[in-house]
Amino acid sequence: MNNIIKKKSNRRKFFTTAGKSSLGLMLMSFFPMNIFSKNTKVIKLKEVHPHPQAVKRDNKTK
Amino acid sequence: MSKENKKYWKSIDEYNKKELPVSKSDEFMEGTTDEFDPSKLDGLSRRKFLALLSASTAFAVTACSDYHDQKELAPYIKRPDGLLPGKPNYYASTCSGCSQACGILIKTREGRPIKVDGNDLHPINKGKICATGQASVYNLYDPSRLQFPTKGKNKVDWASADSDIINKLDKIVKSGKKIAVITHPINSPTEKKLLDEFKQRYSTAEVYSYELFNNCNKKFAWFKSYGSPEIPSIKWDEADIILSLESDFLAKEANHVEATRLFSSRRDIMKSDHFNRLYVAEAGMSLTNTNSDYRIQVRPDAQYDFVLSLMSEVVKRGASVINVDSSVKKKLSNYSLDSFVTKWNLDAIKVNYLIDDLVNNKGKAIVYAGDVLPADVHIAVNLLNEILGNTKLYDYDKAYVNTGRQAHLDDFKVLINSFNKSEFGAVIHYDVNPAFHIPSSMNYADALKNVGLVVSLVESENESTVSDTYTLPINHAFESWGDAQARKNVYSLRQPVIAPLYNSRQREAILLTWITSSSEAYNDDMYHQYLMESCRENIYNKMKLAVDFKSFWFAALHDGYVELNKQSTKKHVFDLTAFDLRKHSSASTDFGLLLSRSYFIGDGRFANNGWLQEIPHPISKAAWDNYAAIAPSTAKKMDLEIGDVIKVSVGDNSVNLPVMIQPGVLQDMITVELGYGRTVIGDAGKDAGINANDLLNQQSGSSPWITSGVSIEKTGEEYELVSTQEHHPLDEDFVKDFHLKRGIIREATLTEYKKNPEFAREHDEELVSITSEHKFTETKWGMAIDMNKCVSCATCVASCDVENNVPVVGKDQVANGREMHWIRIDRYYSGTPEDPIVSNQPMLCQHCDNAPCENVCPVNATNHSPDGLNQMVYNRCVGTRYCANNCPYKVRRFNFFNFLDHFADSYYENEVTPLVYNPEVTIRSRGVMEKCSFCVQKISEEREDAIREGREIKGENVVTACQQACPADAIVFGDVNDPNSRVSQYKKHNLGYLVLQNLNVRPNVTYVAKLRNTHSEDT
Repeated sequence: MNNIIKKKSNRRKFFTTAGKSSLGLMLMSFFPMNIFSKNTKVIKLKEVHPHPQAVKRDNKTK
Repeated sequence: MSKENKKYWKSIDEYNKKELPVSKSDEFMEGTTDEFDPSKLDGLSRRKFLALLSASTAFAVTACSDYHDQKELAPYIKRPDGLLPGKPNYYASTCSGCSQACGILIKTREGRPIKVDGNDLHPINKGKICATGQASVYNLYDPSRLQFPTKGKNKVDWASADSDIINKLDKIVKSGKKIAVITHPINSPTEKKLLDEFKQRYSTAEVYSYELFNNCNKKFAWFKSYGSPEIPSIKWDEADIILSLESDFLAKEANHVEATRLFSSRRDIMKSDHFNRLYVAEAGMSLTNTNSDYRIQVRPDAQYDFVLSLMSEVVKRGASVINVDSSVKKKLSNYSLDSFVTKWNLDAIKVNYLIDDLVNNKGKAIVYAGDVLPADVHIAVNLLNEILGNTKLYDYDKAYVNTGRQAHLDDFKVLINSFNKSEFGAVIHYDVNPAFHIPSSMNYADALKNVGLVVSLVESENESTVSDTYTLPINHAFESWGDAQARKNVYSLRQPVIAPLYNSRQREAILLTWITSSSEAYNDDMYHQYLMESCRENIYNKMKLAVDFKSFWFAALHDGYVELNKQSTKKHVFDLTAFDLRKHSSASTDFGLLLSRSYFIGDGRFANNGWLQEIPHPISKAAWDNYAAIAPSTAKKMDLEIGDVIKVSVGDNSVNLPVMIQPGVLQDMITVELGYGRTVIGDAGKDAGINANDLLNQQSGSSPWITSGVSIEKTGEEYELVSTQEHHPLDEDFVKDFHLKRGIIREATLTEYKKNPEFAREHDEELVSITSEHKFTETKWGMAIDMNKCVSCATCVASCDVENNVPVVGKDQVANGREMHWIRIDRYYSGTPEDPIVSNQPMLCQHCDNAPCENVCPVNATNHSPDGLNQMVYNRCVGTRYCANNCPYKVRRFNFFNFLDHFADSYYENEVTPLVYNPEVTIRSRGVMEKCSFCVQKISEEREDAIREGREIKGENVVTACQQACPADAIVFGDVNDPNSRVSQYKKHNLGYLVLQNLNVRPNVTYVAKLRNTHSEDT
């Protein structure tokens, strides 16, 4: 780390590389490649309601 | 020495400051820098570059705001009554997958059905249902379901649709034109009543019931034989000898769930070694055939001659229990069993065994003809059973209720003609798809264009809705009220467990609205009220119970059925005039065709159910397709291979089908399953297989499923058929009888077993270990699978798929060997391709104590639990697949893709399909290995119950999904450390063995060796 901060040429190279990498990755994240998340689509599930007149079993079946 | 002065060294050389290796001082090894000058390199080293790259990545990730987990978590502030989050509810209802009306128990979580099992209280199916019933829950969440009513392609509201239809129907009646209501056979007494009322309201209405595969021939024969259409059920459990003629009674006919249970109860080595003996005489290779003790290959068009030859031999031996009329004897004199055997080149020994068994077991045997056979065969079989006294095995108390006359192809020809003449003003498709079922050559779809009003009441679009005026969406069975009476002694009820997902209506309520002639008459409860009234009138009032109707009604809904009072049965006397005394024509020797329905998708109504499409065929292990199954000898004669496309022609109609070479099929016979090749259907079912309905025999008076004189020609094309049994096959010579050599399948005859009871274990090796064996002192889970009882129906596969959220991967992935079933049924042949012996074996994770998969996982994602389970920790798995490589049973399944996520054009990503998931089981992501977990969620549930109740865990309280589903009770699960448990009894039994025992992996699944009940002379 000292090497990067102290030497001017290294500082320049560090920020150049970091900047180029960040720009590249930000560009890539605009493409639909799902790099960081497994699914970018949010699906709203249908609301379900139990039928009010259904008669349920008292005991669980085995 | 002070800390500052302390030196560390790794070797004597380093300590003695000898010359250090070059790699310690120079960054680059000698030779690598010959082509460049390291001093002129950028000061930024490789290591620093990678460090900077990862830092930039971190910045970019922070910058990305698209966080995937944006779902809402909403607590139940207003919890619906009777609904506890995290706890399932169970509702009794009735299956609508076929006409058998099996009782079901629907499991719901947070208001949505997630699993269907058999109703344990139901007297007919007794807690079991078939694979189709198990997977039917997916149809509720089918994304292709219709969501609103349409007129043509436009959305309409119910009120305007109803009033327009009522108006038009009235005008049609006034004009004298007819209304056709086309339905499947109605087994609901209330629905029958409703249709009668509809006919009264619209006086020109006619009801046509049909089914692609039906038992009309049997019903007609029964009516002619006994003057009653009520066909008795068979007491399969009391039959010592069964002769099945072209009947797949264990998988496709009548109530095969009940038949499987009763048949397998006579194959239970724990209870008795007095097994039944099954003879199957057929041309194809059906599931029932694979469970037979003796196979006799007889063409379907020769079955009549075969039955009469048997009858002739019985009479000749003086073995008849009744007085055989002289006219019958005269006819029988034209038949001889020996001549039949010689003519058709049958195995004379087997046929002799058969006739000896039938004669020696009079009254304890049954001859059963398949539904596909023509009526005269059924009448002959009825007479044969009378002669042998086998009518003792007819159970009239549980007789099948007659669903009335059904329309045949002849009736549809007349109907289509009437359409073309504009004699009909309206056609109502009442949850049917005749445009698909009827051969296209009859031009049903074109004829509909001549009908002014075509209305379809369906769940999803199909081939018949293409010409619709109105397409009205109906509720799924789980959203509907209903009743059913498939059997004389049981009245079953259907109740809705979920409010309709879409803007659909109960189909009966739609008809009721039209009967009342006002679109405003509709309300959501109208059919419920109508049903209650009908039940009160037809059931409650006749039972004369002490309780009031409301209590009776709620009790009936709770149980799911009402057992009816025994009705007095009149004596059934065989009418000899039914027996055709005229000379019968002999069968042809040309190519013959036999059509049957699919094992899982029925007549095509379940074609969009991916689970059912992907369950491998019980015999060929093919998935996603149908084919023309031909004998190996036929394939050799015609130089055909699997996948070659042939043109099969019946009269003027022809269909191109891929070939499947099926051992055991009779030479010059082709068997084809129908129900495939749907075109107007959701994504899963579209173009899955080939529509072969054009091959139905349209000749008047014949069985539509059997044709002789069929022509075949090669087309030169190829079609890919995928089969789960053929992945990575080894060289044929090497694997011949592999399953016998390696002791995977251990079989013997009953006689051999009695002589040598230890045959199943005598070749087991004594295993040594260099480490001490781990002792499981508490509960230890294990499973036993009785191969005597297993019929390979694959219901366990369907149940496991539903319970454990196993994804459907599609045909192309199955071709790559990537099907995801946690349990599979392996099918092995032995003997010759012309006359093979089939052995089936359910295979699942064996939960080995010395699991070879556990040792090789680099991240310890798979390990062993204290109670004997081989566990899978999904979020540790990094997908090296070493465990699957090491598994000798090849039971591990890898998620090559996010199958349940955005795979296959986001097929699963819709608002309804994810509702089918069982919340108790993790959804696995891409790159993760999965396998059978012995239903660990059910084990956890039992553990929680035990802790809460302050008791020990009881092994018998845990019922795995496969065990729950198996109609034959072949799968047993429990605590092997409990000496009283069924699984430990099987483990100790001399027939219990471990597959690949000599590998010393110590599996926890015990297989019970299969015993074939052949005669003692056979080995």
